[in-house]
Amino acid sequence: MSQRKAVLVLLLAVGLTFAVAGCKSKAPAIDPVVPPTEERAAPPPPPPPPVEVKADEPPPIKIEEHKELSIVELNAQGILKTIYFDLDKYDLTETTRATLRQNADWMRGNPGHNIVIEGHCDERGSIEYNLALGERRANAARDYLTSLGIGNTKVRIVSFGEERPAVAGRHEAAWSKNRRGEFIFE
Amino acid sequence: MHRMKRTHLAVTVFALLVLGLPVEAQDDGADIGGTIKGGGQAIKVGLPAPLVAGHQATVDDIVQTIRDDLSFSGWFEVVDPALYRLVKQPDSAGEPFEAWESIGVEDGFVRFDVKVADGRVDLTARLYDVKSKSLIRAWRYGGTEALRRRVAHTVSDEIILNYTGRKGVAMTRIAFVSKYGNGKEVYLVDYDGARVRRLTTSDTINLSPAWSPDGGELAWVSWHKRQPGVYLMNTDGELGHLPTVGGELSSSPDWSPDGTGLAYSSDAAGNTEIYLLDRASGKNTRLTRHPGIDTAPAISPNGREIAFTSDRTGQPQIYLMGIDGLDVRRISWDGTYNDSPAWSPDGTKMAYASRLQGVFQIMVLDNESKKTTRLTFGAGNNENPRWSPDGRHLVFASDRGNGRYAIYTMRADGSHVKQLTKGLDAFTPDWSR
Repeated sequence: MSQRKAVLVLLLAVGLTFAVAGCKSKAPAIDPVVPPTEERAAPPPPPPPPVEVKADEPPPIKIEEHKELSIVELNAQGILKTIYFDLDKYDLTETTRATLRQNADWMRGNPGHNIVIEGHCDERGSIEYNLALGERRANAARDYLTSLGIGNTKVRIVSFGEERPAVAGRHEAAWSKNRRGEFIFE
Repeated sequence: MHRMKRTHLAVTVFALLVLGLPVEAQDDGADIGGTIKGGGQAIKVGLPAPLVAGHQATVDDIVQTIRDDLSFSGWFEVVDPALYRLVKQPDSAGEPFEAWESIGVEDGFVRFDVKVADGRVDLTARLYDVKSKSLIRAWRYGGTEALRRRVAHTVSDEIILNYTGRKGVAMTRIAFVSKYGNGKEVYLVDYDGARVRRLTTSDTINLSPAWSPDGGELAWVSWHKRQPGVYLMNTDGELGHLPTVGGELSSSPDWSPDGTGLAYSSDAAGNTEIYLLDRASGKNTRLTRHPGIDTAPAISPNGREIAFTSDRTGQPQIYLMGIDGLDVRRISWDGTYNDSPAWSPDGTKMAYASRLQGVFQIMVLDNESKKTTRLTFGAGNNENPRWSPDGRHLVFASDRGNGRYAIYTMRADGSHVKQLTKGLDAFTPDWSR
């Protein structure tokens, strides 16, 4: 919404003020004795209905042409969003699906890339089981992307189990960031 | 790697030395040394270090290594060396057996004769029996001075075999992984914590080394081809060929007891399942068929069953199946998260890691009575249990203490916990057979 419009409104307002002031100075001073009317006492119009805020929806990503960018640049831009999982779980929550839909939108609009989905776990599971769980998470993400149609994007998966945490620390704030699926261009 | 080769060579040399020379081995054939004392009583021994001018440090290292080996085994009580000065040196009248007995050496003592020359050690050990007041056995081993601890371990196992009739673990090693650079590399350490050495240089993640039954090879998991796969190397660090089914994840290798097969898990069929590879034919057999995760296979010592982890009920639990994949049944019923099953060498027990109040603890299930015993306690994690080849000890990874993972050993009853690695971030140990 335009700054230009705002400026215009401002200018108009200033102009009107001057005009009114000009009129006032020239017009004879008459005290109007007019009783207040029903109209002037009318209540202000009701506020518009509130806009629904979707707390769980991540902000939309811009779909632009990135083909000329190198893989390093593509990865640096964070175009494809990371998804997160619950403890010991690999099912996709509605938030996760929304993120994946946006990632799929980008892939459809920018075909021909090679992508690896990395499945990660937090440190609280066992090493062996977490390897399989990371595979599950990456696979679940790939299956959903495939169901959405992702053009000719090539997707492979790799599980890192609990070997590559995103955030160090032994608390839920770190763990929740580590149970994730990352999308890497390669 | 070079060192390993020399080690194997040296072992061969010992054998030739022992077989080829009329060493002072005097076996009177009597049964004196061959029995274990009843009632769980420790065998009380004296192990005095001889005085050797110019090489005392080497000699002391050898004798202390043997003392430590015998103490660790749990069979022996090494009587306090500070008391040995109360026993006079043998004279023309022979060994002062009564004096040994008076300081608590009730069973036997060993006189060591160590010669150090030209970078070599030559160790003769003579075992005396206090009760019969006689020399009952003698052994002689030699090697380079750098291998003096190995020479000592050889004698330790001879003493243990003599008294218990069982093979000791003094010559065994533990493989594990430790953080190194940007990844984790495979390391080896002697069972007593000596000689930590790195085996791989891969600049990636490596996990779960598993010893072949003959101790000559390791199967393990590596990301060196971008995704986790199961690979094979010998202890000189040379890669071998392992025709697994592939997929985007292969992990958790475990050898069959005769070394002819290898169980592992793979997602080649789109879901993590357990496979059995026959090394001779290269044939892979899929053993599990379930939409849940099936991993961490452990083949029983008799080769007829496989324990594994499955989340088919929603959370990981330990299951058993036949070597053909049939007759699947759950065996862990305590706790909501159990993994890393490990058979005791005699097949009577199953160790595993159980997540209790958010941390892992090591449990042992008696396969006969179905009774579960908890072995570890405290705030830290205790994970990835594996048995010593004699079944008397377990090795595991723990972040007890300062929160940094290290390798520990303990007796099979959970007592005598000992930290093996220091200054590393060490995980997933396996004890050589």
